[in-house]
Amino acid sequence: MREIKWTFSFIRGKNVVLLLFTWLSGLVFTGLLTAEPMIISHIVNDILKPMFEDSSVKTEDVIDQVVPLLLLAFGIILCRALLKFWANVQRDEVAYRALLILRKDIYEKVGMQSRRFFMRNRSGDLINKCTGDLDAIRHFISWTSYNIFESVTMMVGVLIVFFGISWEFTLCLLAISPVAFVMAIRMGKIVRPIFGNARAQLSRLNTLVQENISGNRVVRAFCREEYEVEKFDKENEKYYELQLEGNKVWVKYAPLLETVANVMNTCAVIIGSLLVVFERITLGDLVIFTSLSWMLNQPMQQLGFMINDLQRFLTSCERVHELYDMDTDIKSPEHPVTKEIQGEITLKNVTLSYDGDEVLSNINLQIPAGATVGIMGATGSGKTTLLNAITRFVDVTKGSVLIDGVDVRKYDLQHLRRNIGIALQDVFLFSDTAESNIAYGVPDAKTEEIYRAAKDADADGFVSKLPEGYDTIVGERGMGLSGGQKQRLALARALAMNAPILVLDDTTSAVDLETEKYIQEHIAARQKRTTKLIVAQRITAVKNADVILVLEGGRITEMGTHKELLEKHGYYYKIYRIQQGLAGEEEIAAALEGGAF
Amino acid sequence: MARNKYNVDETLESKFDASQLMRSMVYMKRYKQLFAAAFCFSMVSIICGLLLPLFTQNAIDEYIPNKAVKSLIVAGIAIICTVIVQAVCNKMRSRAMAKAGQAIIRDIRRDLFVHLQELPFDYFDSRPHGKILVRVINYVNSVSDFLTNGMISMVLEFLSLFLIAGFMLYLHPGLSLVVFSGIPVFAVYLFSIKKVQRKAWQAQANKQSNYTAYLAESINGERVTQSFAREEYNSGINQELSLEAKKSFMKAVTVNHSIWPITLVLTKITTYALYIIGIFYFRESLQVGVIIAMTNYASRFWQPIQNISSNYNQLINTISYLERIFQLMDEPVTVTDEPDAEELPPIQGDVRFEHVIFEYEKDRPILKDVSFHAAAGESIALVGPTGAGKSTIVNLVSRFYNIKSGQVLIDGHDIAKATLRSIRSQMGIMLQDTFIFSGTIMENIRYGRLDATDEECIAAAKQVYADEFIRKLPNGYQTKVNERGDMLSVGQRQLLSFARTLLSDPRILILDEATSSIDTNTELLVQEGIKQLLKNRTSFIVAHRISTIKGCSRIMYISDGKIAESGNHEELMEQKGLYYQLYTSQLTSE
Repeated sequence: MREIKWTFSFIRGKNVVLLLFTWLSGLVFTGLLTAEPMIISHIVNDILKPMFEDSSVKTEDVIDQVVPLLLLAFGIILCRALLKFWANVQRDEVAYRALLILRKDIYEKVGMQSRRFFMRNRSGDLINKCTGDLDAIRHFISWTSYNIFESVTMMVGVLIVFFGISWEFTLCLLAISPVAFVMAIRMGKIVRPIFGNARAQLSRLNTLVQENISGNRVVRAFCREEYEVEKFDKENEKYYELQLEGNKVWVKYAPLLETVANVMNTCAVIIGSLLVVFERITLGDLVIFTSLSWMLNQPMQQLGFMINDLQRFLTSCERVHELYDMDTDIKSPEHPVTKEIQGEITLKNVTLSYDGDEVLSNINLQIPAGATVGIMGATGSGKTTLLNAITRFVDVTKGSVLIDGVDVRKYDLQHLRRNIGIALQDVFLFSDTAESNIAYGVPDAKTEEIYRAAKDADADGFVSKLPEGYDTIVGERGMGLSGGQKQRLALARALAMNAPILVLDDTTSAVDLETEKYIQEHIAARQKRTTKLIVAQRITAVKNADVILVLEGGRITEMGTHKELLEKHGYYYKIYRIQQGLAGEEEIAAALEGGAF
Repeated sequence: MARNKYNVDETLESKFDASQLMRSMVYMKRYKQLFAAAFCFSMVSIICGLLLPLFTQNAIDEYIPNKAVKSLIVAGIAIICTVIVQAVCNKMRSRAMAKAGQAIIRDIRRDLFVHLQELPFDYFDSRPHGKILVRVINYVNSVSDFLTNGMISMVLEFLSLFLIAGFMLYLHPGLSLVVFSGIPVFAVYLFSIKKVQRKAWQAQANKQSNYTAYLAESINGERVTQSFAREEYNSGINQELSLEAKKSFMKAVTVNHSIWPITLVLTKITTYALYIIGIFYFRESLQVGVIIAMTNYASRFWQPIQNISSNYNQLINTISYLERIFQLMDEPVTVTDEPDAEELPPIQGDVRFEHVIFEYEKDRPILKDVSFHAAAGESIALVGPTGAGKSTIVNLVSRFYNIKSGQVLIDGHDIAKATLRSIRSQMGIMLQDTFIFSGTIMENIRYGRLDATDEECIAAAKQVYADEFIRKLPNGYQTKVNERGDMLSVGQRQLLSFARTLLSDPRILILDEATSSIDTNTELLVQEGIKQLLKNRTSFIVAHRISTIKGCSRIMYISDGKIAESGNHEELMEQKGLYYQLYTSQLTSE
């Protein structure tokens, strides 16, 4: 009931009235269903029969009598046809409107989830929930719920008529019905978990195919096509089996329900006939019973379908509802700060741990607005985490990150991120034009702005050479472009933001050194007042920074300018020697043995 | 090749015809016993279903007037028996159809997936992945019902239509024609909506695909979206696509919903015409019983027509999915084994390029006449500006693309004439894109060699110094990662894929900017560790860091699709050419 109530809460405003009208029209429709046969039987019994028996009746007179009645009947039919057409279309309309709201809400809710959520949820599952499961909800609103309503009103209506005619007869009929309901409820209970498993299995299949598509190069490289097909077959087969398992429940119960309905019908005839024979009811009563009994029979026959549909809906609804109610741990505060950002960054005693493991320990740092900071350190030393803390992709465990003296947690999240241009280590491009990709953060940017960003990121050259230049659509994840090209597009995307803070996470690792130098100079010239945070593995990427940090095990171990750090003869110095190819064999061996790394 | 994005419909040039359906027959034929069984059970079930009204009729007309209680009960019990038979038949039919339907889905899906394994990279690079996904998952799900139940009931409905028509003609040919006269009208109606319907369902399939594509990409790229605070804007696009999907859906279902009312009205018009025409023209020759019987038959006659037309609607809908499914299946495979392809014997690793010309798109050559020879065991570094063609060369060694002219020889065998499997299984290719599959870390390493033991996987990880960080993960080697590798840094992912490559124990090793995000220390350690491993193996290394390049036995400077310079570090330094410039630019002024 909870899920149904929740589902209907997405029908809002005038749609509630509209839906009610379509349901009410269902009642009218049922009424009309009985009116037309009454007119026709009047024509047959009272006009046609006498006409054929008595040849003195003039044909013209009969026609004069029959035509208006037929027109009336036709009018009723027309009403019925139009009403049903209208109601069906409107129900679909209302249901789809609810779907629009659901889609929007879910899209936005998923979109604001944090790292934690995306680590736990497979994208195949999320996609499945947002397509198939949402559609099951739409189907319920437009069809299943109405079907149940119609069946129930039909049964109740016909039972009232029956009671009016003969309570004995009706009670005899009803004696069988509990069997049907008990079975229906059992069927629902058994089939529910199977549907749940089938949906989950489809999600797995979805994930598998998606991975195969995205990872197709790796599959080919390792010649793993057969293995992939094997993996796929396993999941595909499992889905097949689960679907059949669901069908097993169906074939066990649905024919039983059907039988109960048909037996009930047969018994009605037998009992009715007996009652007529023993003169408890008239033959006319029996004719009414038998002619209306389909209204009782049909809903019961459909009980199996309804239960199946209902359970399918409930399964999907549960999956979606859970997603819908998911809260996120990183969001804007109640009274967010939205003041203009200059770009001064302060870290005060920042400690950050994931599941008890400290990734950053007690970091203190003061970066004035407009400064350029280079960050170096081994894989896993906490560089990316540090950037994540500043851009608030994670919240610090202890201490605080301040931008312009205000804790990042106090800013409006959107406002904060709009003021930071980020080029991620892991380049993701969208299957859209090169231009739209660069303008991703500023969709309404001027074309010149985009070109300028591209030029400064040294992307202009290769983009112009693409078949359709800036209008060339690049592959999802930037597939088809080289690592260096992808990185430069991602960089242009970050530069186009023109934000007071620029964060570059290992953004030039795949470009050659000349290009790197070009990019550095252009960034420096273009964004003088921007605070720049540059994470890199290559000395060349950071050596011109105002200050360079070396992170080791989540702590800042060295800090200073390129010159200062070289004089220290520490980690930075060693890396410098090795990267420049100045370190001799002995020096490297010593470094390795000394466990410096 | 025309590229596609989320808000562009994929065009499809194909006429509406039965060929899509005929093609799906291939799948249906495999389960013809199930279809035959379902058909027989349906027939029995239908016949049983006819007996109940007959019984009611008899009860009213005969048993009650005659007070024949005994025969009433006997007949009643007989009917209950037929009801049970009917239920059993329905059960069998439903079981057979579910089996066939699900099996067909499974088979189509499998064929699609297998085909995906052979399609060129370009296919994947030129459209949102969600659009491929939607075909394999959603479209396939949508066709099963028609291919099983829809087909059977269509056949059955036609049968009963002819049966009833026969009865009517037998009863009164003249009046039958009155009823039949509605058919041409109806046919014209069906024909006229066909085009609209087809367009509507096609549009609906398209919009569904667009919506899913955008959704999938939004989920996979959420990190970027959040970084650029684009959530609201994207939500707008999502709503727009959703609204478009709604429009096309409503159009399709509106036409669909019109079928039932129209049939109803036609049924009634012909039935009413029966009365009037019966009165006018057949008054003398008719009895009222015949008219009543004919009107009864008339409504029975239209029942199957109604069902057929709703099946017909489903058919159009199904075809709009089928044509897209088959379109994917027909997508041409470019790089595949030649018919007379031979297995490459175990190789030494001698690689030779002879006048290789290659282009991705016509008349835009990427490699312009490249020739070189790499002896077995040599390690070759490829350097040069981005986009010069370094990655292309290594892609051609493993025959990811077909070359336009020239030859690529491994141990003297032209790889264009060797099976892909025999080439690639002897190569270790570490790509720029480090793709991590969802699963455990161990499974990801084992991808390199499926029969490797845990110990071997761990040994490979140790060799590339990935062991240390893996052990620090919550569950060590059994830690689950997702397909985006969210838990791992790019450097860590590169190390994993490095371990994966080493495990495959290749004769030829290709590292395509594979270590760009690994820090210098680790890279140094890795290099120390694999120095032994590189021995006796041919390796191609695309890299920018001098420290990586310097130790290679030969360096080739690639510029504008040609080899500009070639030689070892010392030789190239002496030349004072492009490589020299590159090297010195890296040295700082200090």
